[in-house]
Amino acid sequence: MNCLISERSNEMENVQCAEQWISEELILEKYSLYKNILFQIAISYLGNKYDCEDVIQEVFIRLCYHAPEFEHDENEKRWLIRITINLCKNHVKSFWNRMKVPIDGLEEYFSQDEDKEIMSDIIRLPAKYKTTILLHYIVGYKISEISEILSLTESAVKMRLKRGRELLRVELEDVK
Amino acid sequence: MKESELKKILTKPVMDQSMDQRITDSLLYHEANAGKKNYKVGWMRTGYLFSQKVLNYSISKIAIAVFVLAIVGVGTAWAARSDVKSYSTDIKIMTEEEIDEEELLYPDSEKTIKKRYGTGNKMIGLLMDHNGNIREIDEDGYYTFEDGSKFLAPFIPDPNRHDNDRKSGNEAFAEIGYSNLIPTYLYENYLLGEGGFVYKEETLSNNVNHQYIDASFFQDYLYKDFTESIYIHFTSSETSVKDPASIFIVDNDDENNYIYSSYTTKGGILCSALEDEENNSVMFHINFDSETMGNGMMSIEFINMKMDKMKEILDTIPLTEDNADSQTIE
Repeated sequence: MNCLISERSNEMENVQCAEQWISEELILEKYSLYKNILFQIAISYLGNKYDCEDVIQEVFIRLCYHAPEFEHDENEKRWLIRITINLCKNHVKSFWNRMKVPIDGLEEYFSQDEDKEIMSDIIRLPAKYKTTILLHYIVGYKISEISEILSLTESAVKMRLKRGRELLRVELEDVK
Repeated sequence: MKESELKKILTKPVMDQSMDQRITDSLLYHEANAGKKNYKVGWMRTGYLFSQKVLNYSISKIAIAVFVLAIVGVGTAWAARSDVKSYSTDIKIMTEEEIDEEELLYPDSEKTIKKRYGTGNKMIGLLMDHNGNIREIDEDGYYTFEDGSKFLAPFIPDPNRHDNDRKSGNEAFAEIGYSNLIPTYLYENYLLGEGGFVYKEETLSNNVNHQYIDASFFQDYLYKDFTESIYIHFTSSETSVKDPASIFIVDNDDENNYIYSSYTTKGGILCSALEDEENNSVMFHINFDSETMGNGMMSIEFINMKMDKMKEILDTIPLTEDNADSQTIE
């Protein structure tokens, strides 16, 4: 059962809900289901696994205590992705964090220098292009779905994807 | 690069087992305690969740170079007439390409010491009302609802957390021989970030010793998507910081808009400010010399905060400028 704290219409429901937090099995199930996809998104923003760990831990604690009730699993997945992106963006907003070279530890995931360089380019990509790139290539969302998630027009999403690909020098493939 | 190659790279990183285990443990830990009504957890200061983590406050070459330039470039001793003198700072925005590392005379770091003080504060979820405001918890650890009913909070904040944070700050600054320079408002109203005060000392290849402290503060009791946060970086200097008052911000996004300004605290300390509207972030930079307190440079960055609140916080920096004539206002 999902636990809603902030948006219940009845105070006593709050109490009831607080007593019945999301179950241990369910939170671990959700965590297993989404951990890698959220990790891949987080590391594309933060560039090191330690900050990613903080963010992902926080995302799932929020799921325990602050998540709204989801009608569908897809809504829950989108909520988790959105929270992850928001937390990552908050983290990199800081001038001080921006002064850090955010690629410590990429060697652990990329043995080839070329791949590491590409990942570094992805990390440095402006957030608005990066978000669309990640949603499209990691999560596999279509343009229409990304436009729903980001509340943008489809043409705006297309433009951001196009610009992101240009900055990364990615060639389109005919994917059928 | 083909799209398929991009996808392959993006989906390659997978969480390692140790990280996986730590997150699982922390989730179970939260879960277990959430179910025990009489279990007081609150603001954990034991470092349980973080004890196995490698310290991750590594600073880039570029950031180091900024401060090395500022410190190494000064050769003349400065005779102070009054206790504290503050100076304006030239804050420059540059892309990585524009920075010439050779020109910055970046010396390699020979030796690094890192210590943490006051780690382990953990932000936790607390009960909210219809309007999204955090409900207060009374001294006995109960929420009281509008109809008078009470509910024992699953997490009870540590009542000593603010005092503990202040003590940790005293210890961290004492490590470099300074008094605690964190604005007192933060100790009273915000919570030290979970990493605590990070003290770092580097001995560079040119034998310059470089010491600094990092800390972050967050809204107490709050746990929302966009919380107020404050990042502080302090660098000590054995020589005056009057002349090389210039720092660089690395930003590769040419679409960002920055606004420069300054603010003088009620104590007379001049703060040079750089506002990044895009990211709702304002960084104040203070350069000061003091014969009794020592010389130093402090950056205080506010995220998602109103200017009035920022000024209120800056006014509580425990530095007082006696001689306003010493300021170099542009």
